Amino acid sequence: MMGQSEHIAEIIISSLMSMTLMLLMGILGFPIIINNTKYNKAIFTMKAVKLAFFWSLLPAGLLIITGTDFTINTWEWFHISTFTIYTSVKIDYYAAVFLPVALYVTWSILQFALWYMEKDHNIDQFFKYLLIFLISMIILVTANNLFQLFIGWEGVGIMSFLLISWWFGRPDANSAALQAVLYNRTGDLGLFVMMAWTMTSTNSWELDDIFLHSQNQNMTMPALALILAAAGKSAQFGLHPWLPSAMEGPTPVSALLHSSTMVVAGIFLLIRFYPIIEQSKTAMTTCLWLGSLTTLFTAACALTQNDIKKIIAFSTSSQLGFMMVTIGLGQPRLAFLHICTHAFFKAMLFMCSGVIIHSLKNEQDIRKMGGMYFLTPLTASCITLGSLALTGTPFLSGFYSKDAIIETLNSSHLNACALSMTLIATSFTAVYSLRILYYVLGGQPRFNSLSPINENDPNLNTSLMRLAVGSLIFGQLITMSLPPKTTSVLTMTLTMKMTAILVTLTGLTTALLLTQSDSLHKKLWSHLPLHFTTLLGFFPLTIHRLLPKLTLQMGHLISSQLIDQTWFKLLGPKAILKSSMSLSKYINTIQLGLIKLHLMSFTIALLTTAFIYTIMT
Amino acid sequence: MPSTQFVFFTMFFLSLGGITFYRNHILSVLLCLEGLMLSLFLLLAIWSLETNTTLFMATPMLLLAFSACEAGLGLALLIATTRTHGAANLNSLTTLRW
Amino acid sequence: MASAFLTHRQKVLRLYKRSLRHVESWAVHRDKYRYFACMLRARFEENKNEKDMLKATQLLKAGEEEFWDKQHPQPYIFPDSPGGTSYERYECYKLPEWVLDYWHPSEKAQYPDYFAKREQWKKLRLQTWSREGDKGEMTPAGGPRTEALPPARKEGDLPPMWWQFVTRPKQCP
Repeated sequence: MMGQSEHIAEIIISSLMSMTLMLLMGILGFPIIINNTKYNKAIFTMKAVKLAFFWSLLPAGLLIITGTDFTINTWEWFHISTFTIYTSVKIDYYAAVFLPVALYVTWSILQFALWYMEKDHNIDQFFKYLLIFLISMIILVTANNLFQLFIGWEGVGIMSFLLISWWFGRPDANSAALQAVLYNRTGDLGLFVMMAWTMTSTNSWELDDIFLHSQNQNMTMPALALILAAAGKSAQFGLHPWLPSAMEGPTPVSALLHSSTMVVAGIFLLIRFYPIIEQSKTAMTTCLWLGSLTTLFTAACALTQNDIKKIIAFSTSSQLGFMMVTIGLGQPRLAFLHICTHAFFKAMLFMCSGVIIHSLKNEQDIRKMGGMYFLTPLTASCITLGSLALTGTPFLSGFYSKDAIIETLNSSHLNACALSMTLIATSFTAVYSLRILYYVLGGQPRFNSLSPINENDPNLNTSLMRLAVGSLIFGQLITMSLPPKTTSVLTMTLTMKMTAILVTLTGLTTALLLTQSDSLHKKLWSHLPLHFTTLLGFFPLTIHRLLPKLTLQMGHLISSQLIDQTWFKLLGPKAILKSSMSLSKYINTIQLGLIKLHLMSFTIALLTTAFIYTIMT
Repeated sequence: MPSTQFVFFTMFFLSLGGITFYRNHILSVLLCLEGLMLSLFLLLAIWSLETNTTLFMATPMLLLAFSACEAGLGLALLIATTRTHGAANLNSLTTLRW
Repeated sequence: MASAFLTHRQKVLRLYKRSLRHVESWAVHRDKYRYFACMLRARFEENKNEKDMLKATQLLKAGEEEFWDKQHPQPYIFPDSPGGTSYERYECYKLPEWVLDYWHPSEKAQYPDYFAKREQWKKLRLQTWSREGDKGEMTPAGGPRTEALPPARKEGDLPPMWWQFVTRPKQCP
């Protein structure tokens, strides 16, 4: 029974939250509308996002202090006979924590992009696209409504397309953007099925209504549809090639979209709809298997790539698989925590790679980088910090999510194969992180001596430091202030507890040993296992050619051969032609006029008559 | 069927087949024609002996005379064909061309 | 060489350069690369003075097959060469020069010097068009041999196709 003061507090808090969101949208939408001079617009965009970040701390702060969780249901949008679609915004734990994280990361990336895209003529348009993307992501995250979520979903997909093909003069960039759109579309099929199912079964597209009405039904089909949608958006195995190809876009795009925010939209969907997924055993198992397969495969691919952005892209894909495994284990909160911590250090890794690429005049191959430790010390420190956080070094921010997930993994009663695959992938994480550090930072420079490499721009420095601070302390902050919802297993053996660290150290020592053994006396590698991972398991090479070829062949078969040639020709005029021709050919041989044939026909007639006569009588 | 009748009927039909199904030289046609006549002669002779009819006992001689005439005619045709077509090939006798 | 066929020397040299680049892709560190590069060079050198063309062609074929077996799946490609990460990246900014004629006068007023010069260039073009000569007639059959413009018909005239040269876009904006 609520008292009077609690009513008032509730009203104040809810109004503050709604005001926050509207203000956020207003602040973010403003730069798109006004028309400033060139380059000022970009700075204005960055400042708008900074302001939005500080505003979004308000709901997060309220959540931490008071523990409120609520929904805003503003107005009915339209009807489709008896089905009503609302516009509703939900600020709960997930949205309230994700919004500040996303805005913080976006702020840093926009500031970095001011330095990176400085010489680009269309920098204002670039920032506009990034801003529209951010707004779509916010719509997606705060949606209480499948329709609104779908708007955000499609919005991020379209902006991804526009941003990957930023340098559209390059055919590779265009094909990569097309790949992204097509793979996302294949995943959207799952979202459509889910929307149709909820429309027919639960008569509402509101999340609360869906959870309420779906208690005792068989949820396998919608759950699997959701997993398909997440697989398309979050690059799980089978729908994964678009993510490494998406590195054709400029580095700020890779940092924002394809590491922190867009690719986690799929996992976020699964987290939102977790009450549906947990009711279906099939769906949970699918999550587990798909996630572990993804994480192992992409981590193995990352081991042998030579392009720095592709290594980090595969690292992202591997971590996404890891998040999927977490959902399969039954821990949506941990997956969400991993989303937030991962955003920081992955964006930082991408930004550091962007610094290096820009300094070396668009050189992206790690075989031609080296010695950056002395040339760009700040970037080197940030890359090291990011890699350590990625591998789960104790008490950095990656540790709080990753170690908790691996502990849960070890103490669960699920499929051991999937779990061991995930552990192997964790060790691979250490290996490819060390690979980046070894080739980029260590050794002697393997590039030509270029124009002076510096880190003098304040935009660059502050943004890197900001994300570094985030990846240092964020894990600790969140874990201290927002306790988990489910109790984790607290008693386990020492080995089990230290599994994550042991596995990572194993990977690290293996990699270090490999670097030591890289001596003159070893032959050069030329074996098939290496080719398998370097060429990404031959997946894009075969599938991208095979499926279109089969489809086009079938199209050709149906339209040209079946309809054009058969139904219209062979069964109509050509049939008459064929039959009459064969008949006339046959008669032609009889009517040659040879005496012999006449005699022959006489004899045959005679014999036949005699035969019939003897048989008949 | 009694065996003599069987033999002569077979001879008749074989010769008939020989006339009609041969492709090459006309002479082989004429030979088969002679065989045909021979079988007819023998059949007539046996038939008139078997039935003891004295009236038809002369028919084999009649048949033999006519067969000699037609053999002569056939040979004349052979010579004529060789003269006009160059070779006495049954295949070249066609009513569609000259 | 302007013909379509490569000489044996060219083929061998191309194989050598390609295999050297692939060795560089495999052996990342410079000292290791130098070792293997010297070994490769020695292998090429020992068959250098082969006078028998049949044997030389067989050696080349064996070399090409070995190259195919041992090539790197992701060889190092320079960023600006075809297949590299930054190839044709700035093509989207290389607009043709007649787009400038469609600018709004207020935008043209922001760059008065350039557009004045451009008007002069256009007038010059109208005058010298007939005297330019060789819009493709005198280039040799296998394509132009050098990057320079073909010579003008008379001394003192402008070389042909100077307009394309003057209005070419910048390589990297």
